[in-house]
Amino acid sequence: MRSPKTIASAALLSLVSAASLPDTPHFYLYDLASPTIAVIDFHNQGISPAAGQTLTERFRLTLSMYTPYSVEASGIENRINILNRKSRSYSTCTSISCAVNVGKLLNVDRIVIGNISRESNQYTLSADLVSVQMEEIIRSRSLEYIGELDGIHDYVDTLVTRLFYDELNPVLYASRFLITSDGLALRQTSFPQLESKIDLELEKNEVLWAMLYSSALPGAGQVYSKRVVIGRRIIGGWATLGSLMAYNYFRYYSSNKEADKLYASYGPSLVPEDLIADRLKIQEYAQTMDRANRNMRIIRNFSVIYWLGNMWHTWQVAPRKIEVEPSSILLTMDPVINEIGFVLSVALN
Amino acid sequence: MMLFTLSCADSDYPMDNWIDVPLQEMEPPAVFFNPHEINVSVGDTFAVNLYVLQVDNVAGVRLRVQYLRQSLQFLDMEVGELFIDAFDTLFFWDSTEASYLDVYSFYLADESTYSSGTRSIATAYFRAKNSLDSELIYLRPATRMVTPDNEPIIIKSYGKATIKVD
Repeated sequence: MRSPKTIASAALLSLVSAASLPDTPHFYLYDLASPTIAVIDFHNQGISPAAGQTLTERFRLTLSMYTPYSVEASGIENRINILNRKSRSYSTCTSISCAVNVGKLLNVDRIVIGNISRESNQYTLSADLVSVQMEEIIRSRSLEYIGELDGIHDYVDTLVTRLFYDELNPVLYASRFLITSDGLALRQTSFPQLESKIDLELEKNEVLWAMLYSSALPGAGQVYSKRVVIGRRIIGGWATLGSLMAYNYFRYYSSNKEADKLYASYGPSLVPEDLIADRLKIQEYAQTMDRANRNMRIIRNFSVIYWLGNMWHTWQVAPRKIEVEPSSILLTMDPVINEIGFVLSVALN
Repeated sequence: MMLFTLSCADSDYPMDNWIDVPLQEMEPPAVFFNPHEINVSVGDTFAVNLYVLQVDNVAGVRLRVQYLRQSLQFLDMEVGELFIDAFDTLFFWDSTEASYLDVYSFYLADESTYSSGTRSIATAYFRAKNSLDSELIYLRPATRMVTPDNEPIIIKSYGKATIKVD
């Protein structure tokens, strides 16, 4: 049986040890010394190399801001001539072995290889997180996106959140994303200089909201759907129609007012010269009224067509539900399995 | 929603003033009577204006009006407004010939003054002698107008007045 002094010493040692532990409720799969990672330029199919590089940079930026990773070799300057003295296009590095070699040369813990393909308005984003030391894919994620290229940035961010589900920096993460029962949802935009001012809430019925916005103000649904340019143009067109309608209504109203006034004096008049003068003016005002009224009818009919076309376009560009197709060889979307799987991976390493 | 619903009724201004209706059917330049329908009783005195319609650059007018002497008695004549602002206006009439009334109106035209538009030449006063209905008409070709250069102005329409006596 141990002596009380021994027990007291052990308890004191335990207290000191406990006090020296980091006071954080978060559990990181990596140590807090910023694990390193590199992102190889995404392989592009159907989009320009410049657009592919921009999206890769976006991926790196989001990754560096919201995960504890230290993103190595980011930026165009750093990407050049890292491996070879001759310039090399890393977008051709799509295999695991190539990615592992790059990771070893860059001396990073993880490396990401990805692909962005486009077929008409349908984009597929996929990325693999590769462990350089284990030389295997830790997890893979892919997203489907239907729309224009200018709305794909949020999906790149979403791809980051999907791929680094467990590693996201909780503090920064909480400022941008909402943890929901369905997974992650964007809370607010983090790059106002890159995005429009309308947030994309992934949990809402985006199509319904976009349609509602567009029904109230044509073009608003497009802006809501991150189709800012076309949305503004549609709003501008609608405003132009409204201005034309208002102008013609003003012409009608003012002419009607003047014609009524003249006609009130025309009826009982007995002076031919006054009658002739009034008649000509009344006829001019009547022509103006009829012309303005005809224009209003044309604008009204065109507005209906414009509105219907706008609704159809909104339906086409409204963001659909994101389809996540996990194809990880180690992890699934089940958080419990994710955790176990990853722990096993680390243990094997 | 305003764009979907906004449109108004077409204009509806019937030009049905009873004085203006016959004027709309005339082709200018023309001469006419105002009013063109007169309802009087036997013994009543009435006035009728002798008008030119939309005449351009006129310097002299001669109107020859025929009336039913058995029914109407010519009383007097007053100058109208066509040359009222002109300089050295000449105005006189002649009713000596039975059933005819000649009206002459001129002004001394120069390069800067002219008379145009729809104006009265004269106002004639009559009295209804009995209950016979009659008409006032312009006789052609005696009724004519000229420009300051003494060029004839072609009168395209001639109006008439109907006098109904109760």
